[in-house]
Amino acid sequence: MEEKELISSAKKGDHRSFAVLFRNHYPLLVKYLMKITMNPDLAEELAQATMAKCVEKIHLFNGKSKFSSWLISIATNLYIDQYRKKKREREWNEGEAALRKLKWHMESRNEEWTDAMAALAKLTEEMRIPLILKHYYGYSYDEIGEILKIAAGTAKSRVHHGLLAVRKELKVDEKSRELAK
Amino acid sequence: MKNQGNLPSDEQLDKEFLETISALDDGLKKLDSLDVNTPDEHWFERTVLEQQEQLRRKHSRELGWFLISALFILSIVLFTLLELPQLFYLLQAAAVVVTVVYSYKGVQKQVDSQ
Repeated sequence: MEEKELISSAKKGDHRSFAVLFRNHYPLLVKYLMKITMNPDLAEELAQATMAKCVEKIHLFNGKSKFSSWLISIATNLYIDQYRKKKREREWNEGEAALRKLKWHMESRNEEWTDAMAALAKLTEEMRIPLILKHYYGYSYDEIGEILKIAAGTAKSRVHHGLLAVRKELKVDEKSRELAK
Repeated sequence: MKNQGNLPSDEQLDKEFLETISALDDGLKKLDSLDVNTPDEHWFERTVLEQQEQLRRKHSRELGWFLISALFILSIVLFTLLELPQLFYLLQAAAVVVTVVYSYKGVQKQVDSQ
């Protein structure tokens, strides 16, 4: 069955169509959430919460955007809401532990935890999410604005400031100057 | 956000940060190469069925509360109409006055904002 047919059956309440849709999109969703949260456990938890929300709101999906984009939009907003609620010291420490776990996951697969990833992890959610959506997933500023419920200009500004912060952390300017000498 | 007006164009931005963007891209690709344990289809079906059941229960609960509230309000209205007609007409008059006053204030606010 094609995605459109699956969505149409899911809207009628068919749980098997929902299951196929979710199974097809689950890896993409978890990997996206892992990038924005830098926390593998939270990513899985949020992916499940996203699916639950999707079952509730499927009648609102109008098919103008891709189903994956719609899932990304729900997941992002769930994360932002949760992040706002849990912005306390204890949670921050848990975030540090989660980051160490993610590094360990990568290193156990012989994948290097690059300086760029370390710099990305240091960014606030406000900058990290639009930066990833723009430069890794290729969304336009208008689309990012729609996902995050902000103006396109604000999205662009956050991406710009995020890139500046990462570049500063990577010391790209200094390296370029040294090479120029 | 500040400095929105001074932002370079998209192409300028991409060129200026080429090295940074490419470093980020490499790092994120490595993160993408991590395996994700995707549960089997039965797990997804079960999760969806549980969620649908929860939603059904929530809707029934909400409908129940709505009906109870409606019955309560209706019984008060009928009671005052049959047993305390003076109070009934007083409440009706108060409701009309409050509606008119609020509607008028709403129109005033709209005119002010224009």
